[in-house]
Amino acid sequence: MKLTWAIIILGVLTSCGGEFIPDPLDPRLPRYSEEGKNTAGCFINSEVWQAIGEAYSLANSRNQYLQITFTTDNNTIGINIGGYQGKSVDSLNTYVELAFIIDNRDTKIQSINELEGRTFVLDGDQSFGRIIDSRDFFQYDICRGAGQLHIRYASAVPDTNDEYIIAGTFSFSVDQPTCRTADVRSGRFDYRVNISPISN
Amino acid sequence: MQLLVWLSIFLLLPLGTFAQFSAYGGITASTVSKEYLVGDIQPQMGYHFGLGFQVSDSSIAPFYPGIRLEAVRNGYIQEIESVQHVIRLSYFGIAPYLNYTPLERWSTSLGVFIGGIIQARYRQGAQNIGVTENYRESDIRLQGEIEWQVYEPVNIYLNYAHGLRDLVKYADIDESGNFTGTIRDVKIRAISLGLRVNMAPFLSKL
Repeated sequence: MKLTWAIIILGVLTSCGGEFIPDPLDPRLPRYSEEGKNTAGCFINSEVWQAIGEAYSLANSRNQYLQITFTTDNNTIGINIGGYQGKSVDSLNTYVELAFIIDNRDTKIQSINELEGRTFVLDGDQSFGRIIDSRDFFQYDICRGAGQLHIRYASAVPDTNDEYIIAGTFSFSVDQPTCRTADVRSGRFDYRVNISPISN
Repeated sequence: MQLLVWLSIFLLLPLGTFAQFSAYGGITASTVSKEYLVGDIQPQMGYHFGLGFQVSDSSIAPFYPGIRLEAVRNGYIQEIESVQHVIRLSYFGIAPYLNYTPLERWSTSLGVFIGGIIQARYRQGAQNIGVTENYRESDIRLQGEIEWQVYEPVNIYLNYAHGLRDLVKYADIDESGNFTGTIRDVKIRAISLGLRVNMAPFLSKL
């Protein structure tokens, strides 16, 4: 699939700060929730990756946001989550973005609500997860991970016009000859987002 | 929590008319038993204090029932990759017990602590993260105690509390992101050392 992001009709961005509630068993990760806590976490190989949401800014892309994009042709859904990785929770000093590209040609999902309850198999080809590492930009397009992405909750926030809570779990592995091997596991995210159309 | 307060008042009002009244407090060292928690568990220091009411009718010697109103702060430290994750749990509850006084200055007691959580706080390394919602609202602990009268009206005591209820009830997620079912884990184990002052001599002067 050719990744064309020239025109994006809809962007979904986080709107406020995160509330980190530790997982009761492994406090390096946020507890899985469906409340719009604006947090995410996983392990990348043996290191911790955490995201505690902040206000999104186009001027500062190195932020811990979650962004969902639906392409104009409705063939692809992208989910990007920015966070920090480190050897332990007190040394989360490397900005790393996780991206999920979902082949939407068959499912034809058009709204956030339709994501709820879906499990997307990341085959490592048409649908995939990838690690966008500030230390290793060359992997941006070529290293596609296989695994799964569960969108467990995706629903409008009552009494709001354009706010949604989206939560899920994920895992994937990058294992290609030209790529650094990466194993992303125990992933979870929970964001409160608002719709913000972007076009260019 | 409201139920506990009302239950305490209900129990203490009639007891207060013929009871020995005491105030107590001290330090608590606690840890947890665990099955699923990641990392090494280390003990956490805390404190406790409360008011005790014990039946003082000599006709029922050497067994004296009593009840305590107690606030306790304990918790545990979870060490992972040399980083300490500190959990502080604050409870308020009632502790009915049966005291046995075989000797003039020595006594033991056995009872339960039924408490409601006031607050659970979490610190990660040097960073104070704040309040967590991970712990169940109530706890039940079996308590045993040995007490020695240093001099009237001061006693020193050693108390062991054995949590009977799992404090964490959690739908765990495996490495692939699948829910693996509800997990119950984390029971408190605590040893307390403290001083108890019999308030009767002070109250009689009022």
